[in-house]
Amino acid sequence: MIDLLNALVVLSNYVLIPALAYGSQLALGALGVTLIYGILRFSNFAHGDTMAFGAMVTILVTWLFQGWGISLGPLPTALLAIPFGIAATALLLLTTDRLVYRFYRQQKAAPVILVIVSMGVMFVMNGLVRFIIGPNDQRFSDGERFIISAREFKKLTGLSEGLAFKTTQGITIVTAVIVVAILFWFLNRTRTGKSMRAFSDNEDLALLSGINPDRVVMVTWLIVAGLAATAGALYGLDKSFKPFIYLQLLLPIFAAAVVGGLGNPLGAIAGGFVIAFSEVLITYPLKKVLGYLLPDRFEPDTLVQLLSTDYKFAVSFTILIIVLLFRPTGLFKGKSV
Amino acid sequence: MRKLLLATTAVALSAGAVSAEDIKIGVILGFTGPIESLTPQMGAAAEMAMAEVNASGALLGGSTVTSVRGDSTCIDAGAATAVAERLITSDGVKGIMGADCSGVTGAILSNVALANGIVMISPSATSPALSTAEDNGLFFRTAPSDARQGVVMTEVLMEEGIDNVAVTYTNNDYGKGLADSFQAAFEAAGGTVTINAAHEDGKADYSAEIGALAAAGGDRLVVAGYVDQGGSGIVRAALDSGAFDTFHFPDGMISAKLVENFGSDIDGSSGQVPGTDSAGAGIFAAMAGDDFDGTSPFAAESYDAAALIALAMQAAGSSDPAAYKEKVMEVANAPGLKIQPGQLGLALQAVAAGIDIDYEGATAVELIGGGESAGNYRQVGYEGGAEITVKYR
Amino acid sequence: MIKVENLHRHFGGFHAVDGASLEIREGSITGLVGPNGAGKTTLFNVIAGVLPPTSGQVTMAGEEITGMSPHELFHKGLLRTFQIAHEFSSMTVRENLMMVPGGQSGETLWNTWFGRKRIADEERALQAKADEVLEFLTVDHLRDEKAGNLSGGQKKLLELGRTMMVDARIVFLDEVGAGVNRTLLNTIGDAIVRLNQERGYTFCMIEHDMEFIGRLCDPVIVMAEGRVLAEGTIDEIKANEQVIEAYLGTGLKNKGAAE
Ligand SMILES: Nc1ncnc2c1ncn2[C@@H]1O[C@H](COP(=O)(O)OP(=O)(O)OP(=O)(O)O)[C@@H](O)[C@H]1O
Ligand SMILES: [Mg+2]
Repeated sequence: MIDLLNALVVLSNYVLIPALAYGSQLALGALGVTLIYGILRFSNFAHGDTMAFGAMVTILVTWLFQGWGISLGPLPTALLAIPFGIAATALLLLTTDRLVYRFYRQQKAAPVILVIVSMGVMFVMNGLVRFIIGPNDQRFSDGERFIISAREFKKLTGLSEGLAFKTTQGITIVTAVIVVAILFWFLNRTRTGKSMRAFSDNEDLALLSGINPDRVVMVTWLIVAGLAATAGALYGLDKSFKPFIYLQLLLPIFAAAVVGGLGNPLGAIAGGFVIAFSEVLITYPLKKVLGYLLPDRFEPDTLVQLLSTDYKFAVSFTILIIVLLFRPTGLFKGKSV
Repeated sequence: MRKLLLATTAVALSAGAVSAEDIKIGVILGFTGPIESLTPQMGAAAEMAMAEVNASGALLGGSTVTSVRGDSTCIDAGAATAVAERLITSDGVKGIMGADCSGVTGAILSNVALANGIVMISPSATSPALSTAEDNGLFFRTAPSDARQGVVMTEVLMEEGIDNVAVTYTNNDYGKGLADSFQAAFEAAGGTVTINAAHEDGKADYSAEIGALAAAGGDRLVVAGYVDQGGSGIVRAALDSGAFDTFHFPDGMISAKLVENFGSDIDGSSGQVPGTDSAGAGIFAAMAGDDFDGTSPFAAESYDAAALIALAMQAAGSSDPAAYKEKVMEVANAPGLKIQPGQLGLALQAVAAGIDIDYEGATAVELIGGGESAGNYRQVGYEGGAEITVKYR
Repeated sequence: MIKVENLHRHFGGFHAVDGASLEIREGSITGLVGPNGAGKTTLFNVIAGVLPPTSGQVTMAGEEITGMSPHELFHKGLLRTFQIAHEFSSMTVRENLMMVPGGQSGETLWNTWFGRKRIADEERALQAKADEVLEFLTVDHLRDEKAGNLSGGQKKLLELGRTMMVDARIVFLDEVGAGVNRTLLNTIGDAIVRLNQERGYTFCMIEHDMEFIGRLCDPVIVMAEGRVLAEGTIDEIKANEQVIEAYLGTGLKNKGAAE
């Protein structure tokens, strides 16, 4: 019985909780990608760096607040700064749209052209972020580090395995749930949200129904700014902030969006968790867990690890390829890619 | 006529010195190439030692040593071999202070030095492979082999009673070399390495890597990485998940940044970093003065390498490499009169008078094994959120 | 009501609309016929702002509307349906209809959060309207069906229903009757006449079914090879030599031009 509990605790500590937090971050990122794909009809490669920008502004404002002595007590000050990150990101995205994407939209440019254009935007944004905050690691978390730390957990339960639940993980999950709830309420219940869905469903018809495309585009960018800045700041808070990390994050985020079905918000969330759990579970050695569960003589002496952690990104890539080959519309029916 | 000659020789020998000569010593360093910013200081340091020897007039009955520079390029083995060949056959050098990078040093040793029987003392080649290269007792180095840190690390851990560790290393030559040499030394000493896994630098999240390390288990986690890179991420993730409470840190991790990042969370951890409390380094830097930067990497080792050549010749009473190669270890190690930088004249006189010396020099030289520096390490510990020096070894 | 003057629309070297001029009188139900590929749909697309014209001019009640965007024209009361029915497939039939009157208060972000009462009132009115339209078209049982699941004919009805959600001034119908069974066709025909008489909608409808056209339309305009060939009552058209020839020699000249 104790063994079973210990196994469960190990699994939660190294797989369940990290994957839940990581999945929430991926889901928020993938939602942004999927909204742009559904409404503006292109794969936005600049999304990772949009997240980096939002996180960067959040960090700068956090430092300012910390300098002024403003804090949230046990919660990270960054939570107060996220709205500023969102506002700045919204400004950046609307400016980019005005300067770059609008031109190609009016030309009715093919999606592939917009993809290439978004890569250009990606490089510019990446350069901007590195120019402002530098290419290095930045730490900006403060407040209580743990909701419960491994040591406290061991003392509390008397189990030999510890379970750590970081404040940032808790915040990530809670924030993701709130943001997703608001987004879905917005898309399904409000007129603006419905216009966006209509626009995504059938652009021609939306136009001939009197829906103003400029407004839909603007609102889309605003929502994407909210999602990207929140996802970026949460990721930086939970892990660490480094401009290039967000570039690497693009792969699992796109994998999540595609796996769920591009253009389908529900799919993006499911995809985020599918990718996160696959990445974590496939690279996690089950030795300890099995050690608790199996009788002593069966205890494995290898690590029982399906794939070395070096190949973490290969996992998303493989899932991406498999989905594209066998189910191009994703788990939930999205637009086929 | 023959008698006369014999007589003069006998007189000369009884005077304890051969007739004065000008001994040429090759200084083969990568004056062009990837470490060209370091080699000017290294060359200058070696030549400073030679000038000190010459100024004393005490070497082999008033002999002098002259530097002949050659460019090793650091990377081009062909070019380095050709340069060494020229220095030996046309300039007639009696010893080589060099070379610098491990690759070209090995090439010169096996292709030229071995065939011509010339002594080489490298100030900066650190590859463990050179420890086992065939050298007929001609090759020495004043820099420790990279494998040496693995041995020192093993000694530190064993002394603390830790014999079961997990190892993670940054995925490059440094990390892998260090982790492998540590594992070999640790297991040879009876310890167990539960896992020896790489980590990539520059990731945001190392919880997956820690998952694997934790699954393998161990009393302490050896982090052969960089404090500014993945190393700190690994420590952070290990502490967060409660996978490891104490760590062992090799040189890449030991810095003020580590304490700044983790404070008292890493109390009870251990580590080591190259370092010495000997006075030599300071004296040497002061001697270099404004001429060159005496704290530049491998400058002190270069001074010591050149000094050892001269002292060994004096001890052998000959500039013949076949003779003085036997004396290098003798003058470098205890017992004997301790010699600091700036005391080369005194050392030469002492040797001439038959007094044993123990050359300390700028880097507290002690040659071990086949003639390589044991290196000097500062063993550190962590207490109350601060780094403390446990001892020097 | 609508006046088209010397309108051209080229696709590369191909002249889909090649100097068409025509007028649609206020209050009329004007028929637009012509062989396949005559340029009828393209003409609609240009008038409704979906495609920019290569040259030429379109005016609506004296005001120039050439090149305006579809949603602007929508708010001026110019509506159209699609030859191949379009729908918001993930929404229900009722939601599809409720989407139509663009520019409601719920469409600004501000009102989304702070104008909830006003939006609720509007929504309620819209819903009542949508139900009324569905009843008018005798398809109220499909109300909560996903629009993507409707049959081809039912989607055509939805197209027509969409034009009834607002007070349109002129509606362009592109083959609403095609692929629809007799009974349903009669329903559609009745609806058009009623809208024309009761609400004063002007219609311009493309149709291949001459009997259907004859029953509803006056006048009838014939297009061929991107130009207007003839205009008149259905009987005049049927008797016109040129028209008969155009129908027999479908697109021969266009074909040549395309190559
Ligand atoms: N986007 C386009 N690009 C190129 N050619 C086009 C395009 N749209 C229409 N055409 C061509 O223009 C010509 C006129 O097309 P249009 O759809 O206007 O014909 P129509 O009169 O509506 O025919 P039907 O009765 O079959 O619907 C056709 O030959 C068609 O191939
Ligand atoms: Mg048509």
